[in-house]
Amino acid sequence: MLDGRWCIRYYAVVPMDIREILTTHPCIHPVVADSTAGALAHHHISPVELKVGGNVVDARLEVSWTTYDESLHTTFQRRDIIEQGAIGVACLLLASYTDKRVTEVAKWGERADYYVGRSEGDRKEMLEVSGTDEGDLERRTREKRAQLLSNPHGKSGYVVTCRFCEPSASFLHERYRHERGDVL
Amino acid sequence: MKELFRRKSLLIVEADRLKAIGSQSGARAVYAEAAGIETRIAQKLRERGDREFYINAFSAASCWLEARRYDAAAAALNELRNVELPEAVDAEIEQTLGKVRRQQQPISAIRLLSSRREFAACSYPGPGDGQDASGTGPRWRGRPELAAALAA
Repeated sequence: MLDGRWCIRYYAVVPMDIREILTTHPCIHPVVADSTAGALAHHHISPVELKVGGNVVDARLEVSWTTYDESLHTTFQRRDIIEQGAIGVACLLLASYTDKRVTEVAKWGERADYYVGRSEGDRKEMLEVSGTDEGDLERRTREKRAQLLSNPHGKSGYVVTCRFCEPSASFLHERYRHERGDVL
Repeated sequence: MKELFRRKSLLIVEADRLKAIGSQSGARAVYAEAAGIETRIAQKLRERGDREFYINAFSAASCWLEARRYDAAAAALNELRNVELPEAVDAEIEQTLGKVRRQQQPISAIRLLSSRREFAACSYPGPGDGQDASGTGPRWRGRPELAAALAA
Protein backbone atom coordinates (compact mmCIF):
# COMPACT_ATOMS: atom_id res chain seq x y z
CA MET A 1 0.00 0.00 0.00
CA LEU A 2 1.42 3.38 -0.99
CA ASP A 3 0.11 6.84 -0.04
CA GLY A 4 -2.70 5.18 1.88
CA ARG A 5 -4.05 3.53 -1.27
CA TRP A 6 -3.68 0.13 -2.81
CA CYS A 7 -1.59 -0.14 -5.92
CA ILE A 8 -0.77 -3.00 -8.25
CA ARG A 9 2.60 -4.68 -7.76
CA TYR A 10 4.17 -6.23 -10.84
CA TYR A 11 6.88 -8.78 -10.16
CA ALA A 12 7.60 -9.36 -13.84
CA VAL A 13 9.54 -6.82 -15.89
CA VAL A 14 7.23 -5.47 -18.59
CA PRO A 15 9.05 -4.86 -21.89
CA MET A 16 8.13 -1.79 -23.93
CA ASP A 17 9.67 -0.34 -27.09
CA ILE A 18 9.71 3.45 -27.24
CA ARG A 19 8.22 3.48 -30.77
CA GLU A 20 5.05 2.03 -29.27
CA ILE A 21 4.37 5.49 -27.89
CA LEU A 22 3.29 6.53 -31.37
CA THR A 23 1.03 3.55 -32.04
CA THR A 24 -0.65 3.63 -28.64
CA HIS A 25 -0.99 7.42 -28.50
CA PRO A 26 -1.96 8.77 -31.96
CA CYS A 27 -2.09 12.36 -30.65
CA ILE A 28 1.57 12.28 -29.68
CA HIS A 29 4.15 13.91 -31.97
CA PRO A 30 7.09 11.70 -33.14
CA VAL A 31 9.54 14.11 -31.49
CA VAL A 32 8.31 12.79 -28.13
CA ALA A 33 9.47 9.25 -28.94
CA ASP A 34 12.83 10.52 -30.19
CA SER A 35 13.28 12.69 -27.12
CA THR A 36 12.49 9.78 -24.79
CA ALA A 37 15.16 7.66 -26.45
CA GLY A 38 17.54 10.65 -26.53
CA ALA A 39 17.02 11.43 -22.83
CA LEU A 40 17.77 7.82 -21.87
CA ALA A 41 20.57 7.28 -24.42
CA HIS A 42 22.47 10.19 -22.87
CA HIS A 43 23.12 7.93 -19.84
CA HIS A 44 22.35 4.35 -20.89
CA ILE A 45 22.30 1.83 -23.68
CA SER A 46 19.10 0.03 -24.67
CA PRO A 47 17.35 -1.69 -22.91
CA VAL A 48 16.96 0.13 -19.62
CA GLU A 49 15.05 -1.02 -16.57
CA LEU A 50 12.87 1.80 -15.28
CA LYS A 51 11.88 1.54 -11.63
CA VAL A 52 8.28 2.70 -11.26
CA GLY A 53 6.73 3.72 -7.94
CA GLY A 54 3.73 5.71 -6.81
CA ASN A 55 0.09 4.90 -6.10
CA VAL A 56 -0.72 3.29 -9.46
CA VAL A 57 1.89 0.57 -9.71
CA ASP A 58 5.05 -0.68 -8.07
CA ALA A 59 6.86 -2.22 -11.01
CA ARG A 60 9.81 -2.38 -13.31
CA LEU A 61 9.44 -1.45 -16.96
CA GLU A 62 12.04 -2.50 -19.49
CA VAL A 63 12.34 0.33 -21.98
CA SER A 64 14.09 -0.35 -25.27
CA TRP A 65 14.83 1.57 -28.44
CA THR A 66 16.67 0.85 -31.65
CA THR A 67 17.25 4.13 -33.45
CA TYR A 68 16.19 7.71 -32.93
CA ASP A 69 16.86 11.08 -34.54
CA GLU A 70 20.21 11.92 -32.94
CA SER A 71 20.16 15.42 -34.45
CA LEU A 72 17.85 16.41 -31.63
CA HIS A 73 20.92 16.66 -29.37
CA THR A 74 22.25 19.48 -31.54
CA THR A 75 18.95 21.24 -32.22
CA PHE A 76 17.32 21.15 -28.78
CA GLN A 77 18.53 22.25 -25.40
CA ARG A 78 18.92 19.37 -22.96
CA ARG A 79 16.03 20.62 -20.78
CA ASP A 80 13.68 20.50 -23.81
CA ILE A 81 14.73 16.90 -24.57
CA ILE A 82 14.15 15.93 -20.93
CA GLU A 83 10.74 17.63 -20.85
CA GLN A 84 9.60 15.85 -24.02
CA GLY A 85 11.23 12.61 -22.87
CA ALA A 86 9.22 12.74 -19.65
CA ILE A 87 6.02 12.96 -21.70
CA GLY A 88 7.17 9.84 -23.55
CA VAL A 89 7.74 8.02 -20.25
CA ALA A 90 4.24 9.03 -19.14
CA CYS A 91 2.83 7.62 -22.39
CA LEU A 92 4.70 4.33 -21.83
CA LEU A 93 3.37 4.06 -18.26
CA LEU A 94 -0.21 4.82 -19.29
CA ALA A 95 -0.04 2.25 -22.09
CA SER A 96 1.61 -0.40 -19.90
CA TYR A 97 -0.41 -0.16 -16.70
CA THR A 98 -3.75 1.50 -17.53
CA ASP A 99 -6.38 1.34 -20.25
CA LYS A 100 -6.01 5.08 -20.87
CA ARG A 101 -4.18 7.13 -23.45
CA VAL A 102 -3.21 10.73 -24.13
CA THR A 103 -6.23 11.79 -26.18
CA GLU A 104 -5.57 15.46 -26.77
CA VAL A 105 -3.00 18.23 -26.47
CA ALA A 106 -4.39 21.73 -25.98
CA LYS A 107 -2.70 25.06 -25.48
CA TRP A 108 -3.51 26.77 -22.19
CA GLY A 109 -1.70 30.07 -21.96
CA GLU A 110 1.97 29.37 -22.58
CA ARG A 111 1.87 25.71 -21.64
CA ALA A 112 0.56 22.61 -23.40
CA ASP A 113 -2.04 20.63 -21.48
CA TYR A 114 -2.31 16.87 -21.97
CA TYR A 115 -5.69 15.17 -21.63
CA VAL A 116 -6.15 11.50 -20.87
CA GLY A 117 -9.06 9.19 -21.59
CA ARG A 118 -10.10 5.84 -23.00
CA SER A 119 -10.77 6.97 -26.56
CA GLU A 120 -10.06 9.95 -28.78
CA GLY A 121 -12.05 13.00 -27.74
CA ASP A 122 -12.37 11.65 -24.17
CA ARG A 123 -10.71 14.17 -21.88
CA LYS A 124 -12.02 13.17 -18.52
CA GLU A 125 -8.60 13.41 -16.91
CA MET A 126 -5.38 15.37 -17.25
CA LEU A 127 -1.70 14.54 -17.19
CA GLU A 128 1.05 16.51 -15.44
CA VAL A 129 4.61 15.56 -16.28
CA SER A 130 8.09 16.56 -15.20
CA GLY A 131 11.50 15.10 -15.92
CA THR A 132 15.03 15.58 -14.69
CA ASP A 133 18.45 14.11 -15.38
CA GLU A 134 19.45 13.69 -11.75
CA GLY A 135 17.40 16.17 -9.72
CA ASP A 136 15.11 15.68 -6.76
CA LEU A 137 12.15 13.56 -7.87
CA GLU A 138 10.13 13.95 -4.66
CA ARG A 139 10.07 17.73 -4.84
CA ARG A 140 9.04 17.64 -8.51
CA THR A 141 6.31 15.14 -7.71
CA ARG A 142 4.93 17.38 -4.94
CA GLU A 143 4.97 20.41 -7.26
CA LYS A 144 3.29 18.61 -10.15
CA ARG A 145 0.70 17.04 -7.86
CA ALA A 146 -0.19 20.50 -6.56
CA GLN A 147 -0.33 21.78 -10.13
CA LEU A 148 -2.69 19.00 -11.21
CA LEU A 149 -4.95 19.51 -8.21
CA SER A 150 -5.25 23.22 -8.92
CA ASN A 151 -6.22 22.85 -12.57
CA PRO A 152 -9.02 25.27 -13.48
CA HIS A 153 -11.23 22.56 -15.04
CA GLY A 154 -11.65 20.56 -11.83
CA LYS A 155 -10.30 17.41 -13.46
CA SER A 156 -8.59 14.46 -11.81
CA GLY A 157 -5.60 12.90 -13.49
CA TYR A 158 -2.14 11.43 -13.49
CA VAL A 159 1.18 12.81 -12.34
CA VAL A 160 4.35 11.34 -13.83
CA THR A 161 7.79 12.48 -12.78
CA CYS A 162 10.91 10.71 -13.96
CA ARG A 163 14.66 10.75 -13.61
CA PHE A 164 16.81 9.62 -16.51
CA CYS A 165 20.25 9.22 -14.89
CA GLU A 166 19.09 6.50 -12.48
CA PRO A 167 16.04 5.45 -14.49
CA SER A 168 13.08 5.80 -12.18
CA ALA A 169 9.60 7.25 -12.30
CA SER A 170 6.81 8.17 -9.96
CA PHE A 171 3.34 7.36 -11.31
CA LEU A 172 0.42 8.84 -9.36
CA HIS A 173 -3.31 9.02 -9.93
CA GLU A 174 -4.88 11.93 -8.10
CA ARG A 175 -8.49 12.89 -7.63
CA TYR A 176 -9.51 16.51 -7.80
CA ARG A 177 -10.69 18.14 -4.56
CA HIS A 178 -14.44 17.71 -5.05
CA GLU A 179 -13.99 14.08 -6.11
CA ARG A 180 -11.82 12.99 -3.21
CA GLY A 181 -13.53 10.77 -0.74
CA ASP A 182 -15.08 8.80 -3.59
CA VAL A 183 -14.39 5.09 -3.65
CA LEU A 184 -11.36 4.43 -5.84
CA MET B 1 -13.68 15.18 -35.32
CA LYS B 2 -11.17 12.51 -34.31
CA GLU B 3 -8.87 13.62 -37.09
CA LEU B 4 -9.22 17.27 -36.06
CA PHE B 5 -8.29 16.38 -32.46
CA ARG B 6 -5.29 14.40 -33.63
CA ARG B 7 -4.10 16.99 -36.14
CA LYS B 8 -4.28 19.99 -33.83
CA SER B 9 -2.56 18.04 -31.04
CA LEU B 10 0.33 17.26 -33.36
CA LEU B 11 0.43 20.87 -34.61
CA ILE B 12 0.61 22.31 -31.09
CA VAL B 13 3.56 20.08 -30.18
CA GLU B 14 5.20 20.87 -33.53
CA ALA B 15 4.75 24.62 -32.97
CA ASP B 16 6.18 24.34 -29.45
CA ARG B 17 9.11 22.40 -30.93
CA LEU B 18 9.76 25.09 -33.58
CA LYS B 19 9.57 27.80 -30.92
CA ALA B 20 12.07 25.88 -28.76
CA ILE B 21 14.60 25.67 -31.57
CA GLY B 22 14.20 29.37 -32.37
CA SER B 23 12.22 29.14 -35.60
CA GLN B 24 9.84 31.96 -34.68
CA SER B 25 8.22 32.52 -38.06
CA GLY B 26 7.71 28.78 -38.59
CA ALA B 27 6.22 28.43 -35.11
CA ARG B 28 3.81 31.32 -35.70
CA ALA B 29 2.51 29.75 -38.92
CA VAL B 30 1.92 26.39 -37.24
CA TYR B 31 0.26 28.00 -34.19
CA ALA B 32 -2.07 29.86 -36.57
CA GLU B 33 -3.04 26.60 -38.29
CA ALA B 34 -3.65 24.93 -34.91
CA ALA B 35 -5.74 27.94 -33.80
CA GLY B 36 -7.96 27.58 -36.85
CA ILE B 37 -8.61 23.90 -36.07
CA GLU B 38 -9.22 24.62 -32.38
CA THR B 39 -11.79 27.24 -33.36
CA ARG B 40 -13.59 24.70 -35.57
CA ILE B 41 -13.54 22.07 -32.83
CA ALA B 42 -14.88 24.58 -30.28
CA GLN B 43 -17.72 25.54 -32.63
CA LYS B 44 -18.67 21.92 -33.27
CA LEU B 45 -18.57 21.04 -29.56
CA ARG B 46 -20.66 24.08 -28.70
CA GLU B 47 -23.26 23.11 -31.30
CA ARG B 48 -23.41 19.66 -29.69
CA GLY B 49 -23.96 21.23 -26.28
CA ASP B 50 -20.59 20.08 -24.91
CA ARG B 51 -19.85 22.38 -21.95
CA GLU B 52 -16.12 21.86 -22.36
CA PHE B 53 -15.96 23.61 -25.73
CA TYR B 54 -14.24 26.42 -23.82
CA ILE B 55 -11.05 24.30 -23.55
CA ASN B 56 -10.65 24.41 -27.33
CA ALA B 57 -11.79 28.03 -27.60
CA PHE B 58 -9.19 29.04 -25.00
CA SER B 59 -6.59 26.90 -26.74
CA ALA B 60 -7.44 28.71 -30.00
CA ALA B 61 -6.93 32.07 -28.25
CA SER B 62 -3.61 30.88 -26.79
CA CYS B 63 -2.46 29.74 -30.24
CA TRP B 64 -3.56 33.04 -31.86
CA LEU B 65 -1.56 34.85 -29.19
CA GLU B 66 1.52 32.73 -29.95
CA ALA B 67 0.95 33.43 -33.67
CA ARG B 68 0.85 37.17 -32.80
CA ARG B 69 -2.65 37.43 -34.20
CA TYR B 70 -3.80 39.62 -31.34
CA ASP B 71 -7.14 40.65 -32.82
CA ALA B 72 -8.15 37.00 -33.33
CA ALA B 73 -6.98 36.13 -29.80
CA ALA B 74 -8.98 39.00 -28.31
CA ALA B 75 -12.08 38.01 -30.31
CA ALA B 76 -11.87 34.40 -29.09
CA LEU B 77 -11.43 35.49 -25.48
CA ASN B 78 -14.17 38.13 -25.62
CA GLU B 79 -16.58 35.49 -26.91
CA LEU B 80 -15.74 33.32 -23.88
CA ARG B 81 -16.51 36.21 -21.51
CA ASN B 82 -20.19 35.83 -22.39
CA VAL B 83 -20.24 32.18 -21.32
CA GLU B 84 -20.79 30.83 -17.82
CA LEU B 85 -17.53 29.11 -16.92
CA PRO B 86 -15.71 27.87 -13.82
CA GLU B 87 -14.43 30.80 -11.74
CA ALA B 88 -10.79 29.80 -12.21
CA VAL B 89 -11.25 29.72 -15.99
CA ASP B 90 -12.86 33.18 -15.95
CA ALA B 91 -9.85 34.48 -14.07
CA GLU B 92 -7.47 33.01 -16.64
CA ILE B 93 -9.50 34.49 -19.49
CA GLU B 94 -9.27 37.96 -17.94
CA GLN B 95 -5.56 37.52 -17.29
CA THR B 96 -4.90 36.40 -20.88
CA LEU B 97 -7.07 39.18 -22.28
CA GLY B 98 -4.98 41.68 -20.34
CA LYS B 99 -1.87 40.17 -21.88
CA VAL B 100 -3.38 40.38 -25.38
CA ARG B 101 -4.32 44.04 -24.83
CA ARG B 102 -0.81 44.87 -23.67
CA GLN B 103 0.51 43.28 -26.87
CA GLN B 104 -2.05 45.17 -28.94
CA GLN B 105 -1.15 48.57 -27.45
CA PRO B 106 2.07 49.18 -29.39
CA ILE B 107 0.28 48.35 -32.65
CA SER B 108 -2.60 50.68 -31.75
CA ALA B 109 -0.09 53.40 -30.88
CA ILE B 110 1.63 53.06 -34.26
CA ARG B 111 -1.75 53.26 -36.01
CA LEU B 112 -2.68 56.38 -34.03
CA LEU B 113 0.62 58.10 -34.65
CA SER B 114 0.58 57.17 -38.34
CA SER B 115 -2.82 58.81 -38.69
CA ARG B 116 -1.36 62.11 -37.50
CA ARG B 117 0.31 64.34 -40.08
CA GLU B 118 3.39 65.06 -38.02
CA PHE B 119 4.11 61.38 -37.34
CA ALA B 120 2.99 59.83 -40.63
CA ALA B 121 5.49 57.20 -41.66
CA CYS B 122 4.20 56.52 -45.15
CA SER B 123 2.69 58.58 -47.88
CA TYR B 124 -0.24 58.46 -50.21
CA PRO B 125 -1.49 60.96 -52.81
CA GLY B 126 -1.89 64.52 -51.60
CA PRO B 127 -0.79 68.07 -52.47
CA GLY B 128 2.64 67.47 -50.96
CA ASP B 129 2.73 70.85 -49.31
CA GLY B 130 2.50 69.56 -45.80
CA GLN B 131 -0.82 71.33 -45.30
CA ASP B 132 -2.94 68.24 -45.71
CA ALA B 133 -2.79 65.08 -43.64
CA SER B 134 -2.33 63.09 -46.82
CA GLY B 135 0.54 65.16 -48.20
CA THR B 136 3.68 63.81 -46.66
CA GLY B 137 5.57 61.95 -49.35
CA PRO B 138 8.42 63.46 -51.31
CA ARG B 139 7.21 61.61 -54.42
CA TRP B 140 4.14 63.82 -54.55
CA ARG B 141 5.80 67.09 -53.66
CA GLY B 142 7.02 67.61 -57.18
CA ARG B 143 3.74 66.54 -58.77
CA PRO B 144 1.01 68.64 -57.13
CA GLU B 145 -1.28 68.36 -60.18
CA LEU B 146 -1.13 64.56 -60.10
CA ALA B 147 -1.70 64.52 -56.37
CA ALA B 148 -4.68 66.81 -56.69
CA ALA B 149 -6.17 64.67 -59.47
CA LEU B 150 -5.79 61.49 -57.46
CA ALA B 151 -7.12 63.10 -54.31
CA ALA B 152 -10.19 64.29 -56.22
